[in-house]
Amino acid sequence: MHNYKKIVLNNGIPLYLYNDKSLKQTFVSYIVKYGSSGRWFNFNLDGKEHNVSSGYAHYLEHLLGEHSKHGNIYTNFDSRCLNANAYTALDHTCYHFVGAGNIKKSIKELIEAIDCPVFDDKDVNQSRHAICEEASTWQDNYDVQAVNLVEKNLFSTYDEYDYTLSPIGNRQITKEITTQSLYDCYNAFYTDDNKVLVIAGNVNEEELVDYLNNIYANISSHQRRVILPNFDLEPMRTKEEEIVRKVDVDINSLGIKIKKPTNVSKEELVICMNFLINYLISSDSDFYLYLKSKNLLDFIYYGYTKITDNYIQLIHSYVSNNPKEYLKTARDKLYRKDMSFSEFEGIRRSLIAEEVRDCDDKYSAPSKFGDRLQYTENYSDLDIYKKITYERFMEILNMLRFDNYTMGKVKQLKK
Amino acid sequence: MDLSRLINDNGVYLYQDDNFNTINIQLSFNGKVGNREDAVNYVLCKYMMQSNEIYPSINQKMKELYAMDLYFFPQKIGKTSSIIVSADLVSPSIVEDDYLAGAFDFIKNIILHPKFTDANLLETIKRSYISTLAHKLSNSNNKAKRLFLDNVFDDENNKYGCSIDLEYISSIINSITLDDIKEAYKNSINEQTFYRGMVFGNISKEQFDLFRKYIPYKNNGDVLDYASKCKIVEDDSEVLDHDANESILYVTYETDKIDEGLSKVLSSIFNGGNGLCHQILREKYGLVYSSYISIYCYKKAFVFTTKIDKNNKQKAMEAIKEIISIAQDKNKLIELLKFAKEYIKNEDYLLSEKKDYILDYLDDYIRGIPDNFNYNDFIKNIDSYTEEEIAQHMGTLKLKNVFMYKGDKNA
Repeated sequence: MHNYKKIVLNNGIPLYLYNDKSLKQTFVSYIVKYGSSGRWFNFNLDGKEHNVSSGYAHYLEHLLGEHSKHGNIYTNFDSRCLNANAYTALDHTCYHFVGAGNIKKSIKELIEAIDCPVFDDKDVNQSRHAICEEASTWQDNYDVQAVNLVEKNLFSTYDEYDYTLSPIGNRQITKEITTQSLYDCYNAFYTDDNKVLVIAGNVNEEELVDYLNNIYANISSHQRRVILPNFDLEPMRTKEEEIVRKVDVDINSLGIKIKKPTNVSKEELVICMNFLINYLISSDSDFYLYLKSKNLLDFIYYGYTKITDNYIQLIHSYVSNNPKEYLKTARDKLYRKDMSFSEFEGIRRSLIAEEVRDCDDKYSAPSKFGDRLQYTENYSDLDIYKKITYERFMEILNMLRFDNYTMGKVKQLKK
Repeated sequence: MDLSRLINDNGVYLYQDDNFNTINIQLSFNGKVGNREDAVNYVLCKYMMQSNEIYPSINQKMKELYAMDLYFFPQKIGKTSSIIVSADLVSPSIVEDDYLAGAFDFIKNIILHPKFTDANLLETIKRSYISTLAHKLSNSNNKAKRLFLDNVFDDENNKYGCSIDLEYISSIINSITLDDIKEAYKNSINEQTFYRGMVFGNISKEQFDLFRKYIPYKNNGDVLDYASKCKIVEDDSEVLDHDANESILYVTYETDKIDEGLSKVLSSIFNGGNGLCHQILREKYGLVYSSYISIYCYKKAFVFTTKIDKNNKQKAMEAIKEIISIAQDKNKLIELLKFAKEYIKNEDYLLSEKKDYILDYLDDYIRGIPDNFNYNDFIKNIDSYTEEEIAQHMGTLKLKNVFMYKGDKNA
């Protein structure tokens, strides 16, 4: 299921293609590995230093799609009954659509919109108001703030991250962003070596690749002009931080950062981290139920792992009356490394079931590919879940050290 | 979608589709209505998933059954309240393990043999429930929607106010006892209160028959009263929230009786990137980030929801009036209606690939609400909707309620 084939196009952009004759729709996503986090705030473009802040990547996302040489591509796609959207994450920006008709024409429009920007001052001003309203919505999302606080704590380059901890930026920043600064960011980070194309559908591979190479042949290439930051080389740090907001309940977040062991493949590590997430914080884990019964945890609402070249991060957010005790208990549990065979087998079956359910939604699953690209080119973990043994899992678990952690909290301010 | 494939076995419906890897089962029971009853139903649902006479660890058993996703949840529609048992199973053909008999037996035992003796568990569930509500209210969007619904409908049975007032709802939750949930179980989850079942996905007829041996419930013939008699309250008011940044404007019109089919056509005209809301409020005036309409068929309510700058209420009101005047002009509706029909037909074509869509449509269809809406007939007759009909219907709109949730935080 979901076995993607990687094809490198003539301009170097990788195409991940999932070809399935049974699909009626085609899913297309164009990903740029440039997001809203602090690691892209300072850069030197053609000898000139630039300093921007959160909100720029997101503003660009709006302008490229809404004010392209083809007009507003989302309106165009909608008129062809295609479902289209875009989002800006901390570490990438993604433009995507899915539908059944006019696919080739729409792929061309999408690529040209992103690769041939034409927005001007008028367009920047026209989009400003809507973006301000979107920023307000995000500023009220305390769950995201709690998780982003942990991300911010993990890396020193995030120290400049906007106080609202929103990938959208805030109203004030949005009001001040200029057209020139957006083009500077575009020229620095929308380079061909920083882009990925993902297509899933019933397609003729040869025809499609020719078509894509033709589109790019008529577009100027975007060569790298800045040194892309490698945040993965930053030293680990342990930091606790909290922000105070008027909320009805404290929202805590915990991030654990682990130095990646050698002699373990990325795929195996992903699997092991998914086991750990399930072991610790899945709502059907015995440990989760134990924490609830001890009044250490009310509920967990978000958890994920990230694996980069040097590090593994395990991040989750939760509501607890006693977050410090929760942290201590969770870390003790990790240190003991005492997962039994029956626990392991139960989790393995859960993970298989999760993968199978994901595959039932044939298009939302590939839409998550952007996140996975950060650490693996292997889309589906089903086969590895089926194959991994208890002995191998315990061997990898014993290589992991859980020394560096960070906590964030959106703290309740009594009304 | 081919609804002629539906098999009705005494109120339990089967729709086979081996394009999917899973089997979804839903069983619906009639529950009691009211603020306190809602809270009791919620606690009952959570409790049943954690304590049972047969299984020492429900959790472990679910994992053995390929992480069967089994849950109980309360559902309110109109004046009715239901308790739904939902199970999502991995198809045995995928995992190469014929475990279905064990899975069906498990579902049966979870329904029939709960164990209501653990006071500590009850306290844990209550505490978690209060935290969950508090967490929901940290989201201004949730808070605004609940405040709006309370303001706009004069419906005492469906007040959300209790869940906005944390102190009030906490006092209700904290007063729930083991006897309360025992009583609720006795009254709500049994053969007499069972009214509908649905089995969907990668399951054979033989496997369905096996399921029916374990779960032999039949529809007892009762028809639930979905219609609500509540009215739209005439009002123009604002709620100021010093803790929120965003502002949301809700503008509610009363319409003539509106059926599910017309509601779908109108939604396609007003919503989406080419819809009237987006085109006028965002593209023409750049006033909002998002805007859309919702239609509450039972309550004859047609609601515009827009996220706007708190100072732009008047401009948004003018733009909404402009939108309505366009929709009342049959000449301006020609292109919009043409597109709406295409969109709906296309959606139908794609329906067979989306499990959630199929489940929603089957749910509506089997439920037969409102006015026995039949999706197949609707698609067959989609071209019969005319500009005149839409314009005439839009001419019946009467402005009744303007409600603004005003975020007033100086971030």
